[in-house]
Amino acid sequence: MQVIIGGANNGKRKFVKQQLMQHPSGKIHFFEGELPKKDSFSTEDILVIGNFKNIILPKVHLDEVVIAEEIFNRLIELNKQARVICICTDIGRGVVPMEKEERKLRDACGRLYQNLISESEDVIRIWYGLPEVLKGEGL
Amino acid sequence: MSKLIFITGGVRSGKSAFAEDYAKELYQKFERKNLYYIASGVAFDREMTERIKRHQADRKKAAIQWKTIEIQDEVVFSEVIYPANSVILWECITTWLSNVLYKTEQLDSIERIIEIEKYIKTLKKQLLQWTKDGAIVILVSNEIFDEQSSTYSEVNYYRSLLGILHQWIVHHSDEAYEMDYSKIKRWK
Repeated sequence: MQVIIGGANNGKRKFVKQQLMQHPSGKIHFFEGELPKKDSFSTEDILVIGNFKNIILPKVHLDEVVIAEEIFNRLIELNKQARVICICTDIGRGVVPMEKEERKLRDACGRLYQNLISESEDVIRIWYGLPEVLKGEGL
Repeated sequence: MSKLIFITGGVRSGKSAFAEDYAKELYQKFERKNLYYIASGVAFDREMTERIKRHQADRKKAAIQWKTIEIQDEVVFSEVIYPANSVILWECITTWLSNVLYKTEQLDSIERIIEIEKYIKTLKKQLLQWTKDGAIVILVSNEIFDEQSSTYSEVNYYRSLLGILHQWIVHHSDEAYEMDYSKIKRWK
């Protein structure tokens, strides 16, 4: 598994696309705000998954740890079949939200990111299009 | 010799001090004749007036004299700037863009987007022209991209415009810095 992390509007997807175009290594599938439902991917497939906020949203009534684990386990499952690249938009540095649900969302997101980063071989932070390898190698 | 330098950071990260010191250093090192300060802050309340006064006082105390030019939204200059012998510090892109958003507030949505794009295009053109003509330009901006998206579409629109503009600036920059708690990280 690989993680691309950075603030909103920093060019994370653009970076992933550029990198994958430069070294074509499989069929790319993009998923935004949802996890792939089917289970018939092959090692040729590259799954680029983004907008975790919307993936968490339907589960927001559950416990924070449970939310993070459910999503994490599904990604581990998918990573066994295909190459998984997670686009993680950092949302943890603002003012604590007033709304209870928004706070929960933010917490669950942070928890999930921690899991993803610890599991991933490569973690790359993107700052306005420029990459910084935090762990492992590049994409 | 020309340079485009981008400096960004959180509030009170020390980016102004760093940008001003760096501008003065380059002014001396490259024996430039003019040190311009383009101010985009608009005093809309007392706190903002104080903030601007504090920045002005800091610049006045400086041994090297700044020439201040106010650019709120229109990228038009009341005096001629000679790029090849100038260092230009613009503070900051964040306030300039929010001024543009206020200025265009009454327009219809599509018309407004077009108008805003025009402003941004003018800014980009000006920056490229300056660097082509030998100016040393330092742009200061803010980091506002690490929190949850807002429930207000205007805020999200602003963030996406600024983020895309930052990407463009970084792409064209010779040097790019991110500041956190006075710690400087050079990205480029």
